Amino acid sequence: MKAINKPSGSKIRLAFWRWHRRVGLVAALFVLLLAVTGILLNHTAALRLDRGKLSPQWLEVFYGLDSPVMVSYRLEDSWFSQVAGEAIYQEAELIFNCQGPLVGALVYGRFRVLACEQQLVVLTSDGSQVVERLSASHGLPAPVRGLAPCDNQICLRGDAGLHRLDLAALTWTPVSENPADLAWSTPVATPEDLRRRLGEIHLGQTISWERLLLDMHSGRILGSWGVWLMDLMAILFLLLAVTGVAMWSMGRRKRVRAGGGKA
Amino acid sequence: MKWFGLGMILMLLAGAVHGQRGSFMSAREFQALAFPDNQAAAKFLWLNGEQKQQAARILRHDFNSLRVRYWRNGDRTAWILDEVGKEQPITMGAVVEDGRIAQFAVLEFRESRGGEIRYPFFTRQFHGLSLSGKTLSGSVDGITGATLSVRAARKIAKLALFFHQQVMAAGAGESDQ
Repeated sequence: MKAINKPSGSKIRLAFWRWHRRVGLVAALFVLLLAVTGILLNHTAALRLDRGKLSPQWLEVFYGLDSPVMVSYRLEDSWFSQVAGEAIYQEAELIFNCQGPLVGALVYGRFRVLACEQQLVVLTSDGSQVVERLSASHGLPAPVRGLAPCDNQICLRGDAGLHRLDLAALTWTPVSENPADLAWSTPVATPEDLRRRLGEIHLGQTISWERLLLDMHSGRILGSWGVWLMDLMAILFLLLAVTGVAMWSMGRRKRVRAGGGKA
Repeated sequence: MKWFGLGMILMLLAGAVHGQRGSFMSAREFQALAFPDNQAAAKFLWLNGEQKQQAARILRHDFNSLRVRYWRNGDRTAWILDEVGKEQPITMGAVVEDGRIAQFAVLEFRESRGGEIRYPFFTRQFHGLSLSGKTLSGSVDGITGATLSVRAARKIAKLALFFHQQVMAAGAGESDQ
């Protein structure tokens, strides 16, 4: 039987068709992913995706996030905890965000006073509201490393030495001697139940559904190599477009020739 | 030579960025500026619910303190207040006398840009301004590239004037502690 020699144009077209099909199969899943996440991202506000936050379980699944670092101080019957180096909670209620790690807490007259490295915060007697915040702009000798009651005032220990604070007059008096009997505020272990609740609250405030979609859309959900993967997919989409247009063009020319010059 | 010039430009740019941040005046220095004769009593303005709401309207966010510390001598008050520019708080001081701003200064700037507001060409604009309803009685020209810092400064000026009004209103809420 005589072998049929196909014209070269058909060979090229066949090759394009085969690669178009292979690339299409590989890229199909990513096309679906990008289409779905893209449509959702276009309607973020309407769907309130920027408001809803991922639960701790989903955070662990998608981002591998663990329970955050916590530091707790106990003042009488209240627990004051700092979560992830920022947010300050009384029990499980967020009170404020502090500048720097929490380094001490004490009762001072009718106030509660909390010290972070860069900020001193005065709270109401029940600890639920901020009365005043003091920073280096107010003369706070930051960074603060410790807090202790001393002679009806507040002693602060820091890189700038020991200072006595008169909270009413806002004077910071350097103390040359280091009194041995100062009861420096020390952290205690966060109770397990409180730790679990704070972990759930804190992780629940971190990442929104919109953020997750953006990370999926860009490939960042898989880390840096996920971004390269998405770049590769983009190149494959370009190939699909090129091969698709090439096949259409070749087929059109073939139809024109077969039709005696008519398009 | 061209590489030297490029290096100099890059250094200047880096300096410009990092030179924005800084502590320019301490609280003590600001008090000395506000009361050169050193005669001022430290006081607290305790805010009631209505005052907190008014402060929140000026700032366009919650005012998260129950009391505000200030210094007073007669009709002259001095306030040190914080407001976030873009991401970090800017600490500013305002001296108010007879319902008008007498002095306005940036004590500490923590952002990487927008620090031009600390210069006298900008802060001088606040001198003599009062509160006219909910707005400042005069205009304050902005600075290109420092929009958010300028906005924070305007808010602090309004807040200081508002607090001054509250203090002068029969000493409402005023306390020594």
